[in-house]
Formats: sequence, structure tokens, C-alpha cells
Amino acid sequence: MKYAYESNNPKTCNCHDKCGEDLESIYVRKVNKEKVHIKDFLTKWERKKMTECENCETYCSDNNVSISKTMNDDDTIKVIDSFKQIFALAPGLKPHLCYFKFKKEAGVLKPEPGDTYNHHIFYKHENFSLDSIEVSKVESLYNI
Amino acid sequence: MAGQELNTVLDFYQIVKEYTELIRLDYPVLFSGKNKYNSMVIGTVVYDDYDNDQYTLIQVPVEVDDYYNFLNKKITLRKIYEKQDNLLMVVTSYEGKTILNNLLPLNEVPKNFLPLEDSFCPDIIVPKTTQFGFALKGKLADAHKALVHDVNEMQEKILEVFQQSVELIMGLTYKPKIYLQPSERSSFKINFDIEFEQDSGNQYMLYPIDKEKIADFFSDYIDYVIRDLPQGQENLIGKTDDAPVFQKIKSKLKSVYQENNVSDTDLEYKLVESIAETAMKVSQVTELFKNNESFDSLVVNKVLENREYEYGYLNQNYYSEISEKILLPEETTTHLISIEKEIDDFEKQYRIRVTHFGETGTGRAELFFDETDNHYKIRLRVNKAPGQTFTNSVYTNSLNEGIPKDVKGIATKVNGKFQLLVCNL
Repeated sequence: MKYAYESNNPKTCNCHDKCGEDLESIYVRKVNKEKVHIKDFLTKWERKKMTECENCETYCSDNNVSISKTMNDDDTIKVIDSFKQIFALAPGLKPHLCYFKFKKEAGVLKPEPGDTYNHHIFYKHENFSLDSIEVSKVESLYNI
Repeated sequence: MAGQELNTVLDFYQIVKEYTELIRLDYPVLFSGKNKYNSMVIGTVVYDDYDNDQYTLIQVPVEVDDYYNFLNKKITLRKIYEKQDNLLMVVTSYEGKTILNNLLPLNEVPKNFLPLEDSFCPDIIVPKTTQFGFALKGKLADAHKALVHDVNEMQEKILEVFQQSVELIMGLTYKPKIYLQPSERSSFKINFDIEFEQDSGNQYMLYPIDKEKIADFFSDYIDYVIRDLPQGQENLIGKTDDAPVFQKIKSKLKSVYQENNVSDTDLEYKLVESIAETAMKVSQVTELFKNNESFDSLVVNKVLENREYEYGYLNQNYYSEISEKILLPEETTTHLISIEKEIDDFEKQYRIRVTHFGETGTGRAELFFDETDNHYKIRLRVNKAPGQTFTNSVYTNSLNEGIPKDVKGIATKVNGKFQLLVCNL
């Protein structure tokens, strides 16, 4: 089984060196509707239907999925707060929060500074699907 | 509106250069840039239509002051939108092809596409880093020009800010070194990298010192001087119990000092003094904006792994924003043009209560200016002749007993307020 980046990125890079699976923690992602859709997990690379890979920097930074990790109640509050601040700017943009755990071989991830609390980037396995995650809850930011 | 006329109007709303993603969640959420007339434009992605592989965006031109007031949480995005006659609603394909441009008055824009009443700029999570970029803005810099003299002078002044800011951590195991980094071609950015290198004289440490802790403290310290002090409500003239951000920085410095076996006596006083000194150095940077021909403001970025995080904006207002929050350092005030100083011509009698007093004769006091309890918090300097001691002096007695005493000295008022009293023992 390959990662999506391995199929498309012909050059070797070290962007994934410190990545790993995490099957224990709960992660949060902004999604469009109450029912999670596979397109909620599209990367910028996939949206733009890009095929040419100029360099790993462009490829790896555009072909990942932004998520936030919660390890306890305090984290959850901070994660929700950071998403709510973004929600206030554009309330119609993916106004739901999806809480989920990864299953085996869903992909790999690593912490990286970003615009939400406990931000992580997630590199999908090539055949990532909604079966690769276990959704525990989806809640509307309008109600939090 | 006729086609050509519409295109001319659209020119005001469309970003053609300096596109910056301000907030990104693997796609841009909030972004800015400049239109063909060099004016700022701000925009948001307001809807992700994944059934049709399309985004909907809202874009508006924005005054520079409003833009940075938004970034500094002083106004909401909603307020910026409400100032506009029309908003530009753009529908684009995922690949970036424009499908529809529509100029709409605010009340015709779908409600869920508009920012909420509390749409302040999010706490953009600025990473801990000690790499900083200063981008020149306004005047000639907007036309990608700058006079060599102006840029050199600015670079010198920014260097002084960093030299001042590392004073507190100079004696530690890791020595701060300030590097100037090359700018990208054709960009007016001055980049500094502060690295912490192990002091060769300290290589036989019993316990390894956490270099990251020093860098972490330093990153927060610079954030405080550039962003939190001018924009926030914290005041460092009196007690700092109500200044949580300052307290957090103080506890980080304490931890760094403890690990380095440096005494943390008088830590709060030293940190307050250091912040005041550094803030005045920043004021000297912003003072340059008045008289140079090349730029009138600076955007401060933090740089991590080639991504720049815009987090501060320095303009001529900096001094007025900080001057009521710190006691102006004695030495630096004279360099500032905007300060009106009044100094007593001869020694006068003042009633003061000393609140802090160090071995060198410097400290803090409350200066009572009428018969009530009204007072100014001031800086105190007491000169003594060799061989004299402050023990049992009126100053140490006031400090120990906590009561006001009459002293004679020369007072300095800055902008009408008492700031300094210089006495002789």
C-alpha cells in the first residue's frame, strides 16, 4: 500500500520523516454537512487536479489535510475556540466539526504549526476512504 | 453597468499582486493582496461547493489602517464589509478559473456568506521562532523603491532593538547571536535571525540547558514588545498582577534563569525595565517613519520553514500606544522628537513613597503632587558620593516603612506627567 504522495512525488524528500500513524487520539476537521463526505478530505492538490510535481515543497504542502488533535477536555475547548474564530469570518464555509479517530493504514500525520490549535497535517494513504476513519461526532458550529 | 465600466470597477476589488494567505486550512480561508492601483484588498472563501467543485469568495478593497486594525483585533471584518457600497462575490472552480463576478450591496449578499458581528481576526497561531522579517510599507516602498540611506538607517535601528532585547539573556550558557539575512531580490524586507549558540567557556555543564526554552522566552518577549504591549491593555507602570501575558513571560524567564543558575532576585523589575528599554528602541524605529522618504510603516513577520506569519504592524502610533504603559527609560527619551520634557531648573521638595530601591540607587517611587493620595508612579535615581551608603537613608526608610517622605530633587515631566526624580544623598 502506498501513500498518495509516493505515487505522485517522484523525488525523495524528508517531509514525511517524522510522520506516523496515531490510532488513539481524537482529531477534528471542519466539514460541510452533518453527513461527512469523502470530499471533506480533499487536499488542495486533489481539488486543483494537479498532476505535475515541481518540487517536494509545493507538492507536500499542498497535498495534505489540516486537522487538529484533541487529547483532553481542555484541548477540545481550545480547538473548538480556534475553529469558532474562523467560523465568525465565514459562517457558511464548512460549518460543522467532525470528531474522528484514524483506523490502521488510513495515513500518517505530524504536528505542524498552523492556524488552529494543536494543528496537524495528515498525509492520506492512496486508497483513503471514509472507512479509514471512525467518526464519533459531528456538530454544527452554529450551535456551539 | 456596461462591460468596460464594470471591468474598471472590478479592478478595485481584484487582487493582482502580493497575494497572502492569512489563514489557511489546507485551502485559503482569509487572504489579502493588492489591486492594480496598489490598494489593499481582503477576502474570504465563504462557501465550498464540493458538489460542483467550486468555491465562492467575497473580496473588498480596504484602507491600510482598517486592514491592520483588523489584524490587530481592533475592528471586525464585518465592519470592513459594512463600509463598502458593494462587495465582490466571486465563484471560481477548484482549479482557480473565475466562473462569475457579481458586485452586490451588503444586504443582497446571502447571510451565511457574511462575517458575524464578532468577526475579529482569529488568534493566528504564530509559531515560536526567532527569525523575523520587517517589510517596508508606504511611500516609495510601495513602488518597490527605497533610498539606500533610509533603508540603512532603519536596519541599524532594528538591530538596536534586538541588541537591547537580548541584554537580559546575555550572561547565560547560550549566547544570543544576531544575524542579518539576505532579502529576496526586489523585496523590501529586512530579515534577522537570532540564534543561541553554546558559550565555549561553559561546555562542561553538569546538566544540559534547554536551548529551546531560551528561544521560547525570547520569541514571547519580542511578541510582547511589538504586539501585546501596544495593542493590549496591560500596563507595566504599577503592579503587574493584572498583566497575565507579562506574568507568563516572567515565569519563562524565571525558569531560564533557574536552569542557568542565575539569580532571579528583582526579576520583575529587571524584566519591566528591559521591556521599557526595548519598547523605546522600537519607538525610535517608528520615529524614522516621520522624516524619511522611503516608507511610513513596517509589517513584522515571523518566519518558520519558509512560511511567513504576518503578526505585527508598526507605524507612527507605536509610541503613543506604549507611552502610558511604561515608565520611559531615562537615557532613551532624549532621542525622541515627539517627547516634550520639562526639567526643574533647581532642586525642589517632593513627597515620595519609595516602592523599589536597588543597590545602585535606582528604583521606583510614588510622587504625591497634592495633599491627597493622588500620585504619579515615577522612576527614582539617587546619586551618592563614594563611601556613602543608602542604609538608613530617607529612601530605604520610606521603602521599609511604606510611608511617604519629603525629599529634595530635580524632577522631569514628560508630556506633562512626572516621570523621573533625581536626588542626591
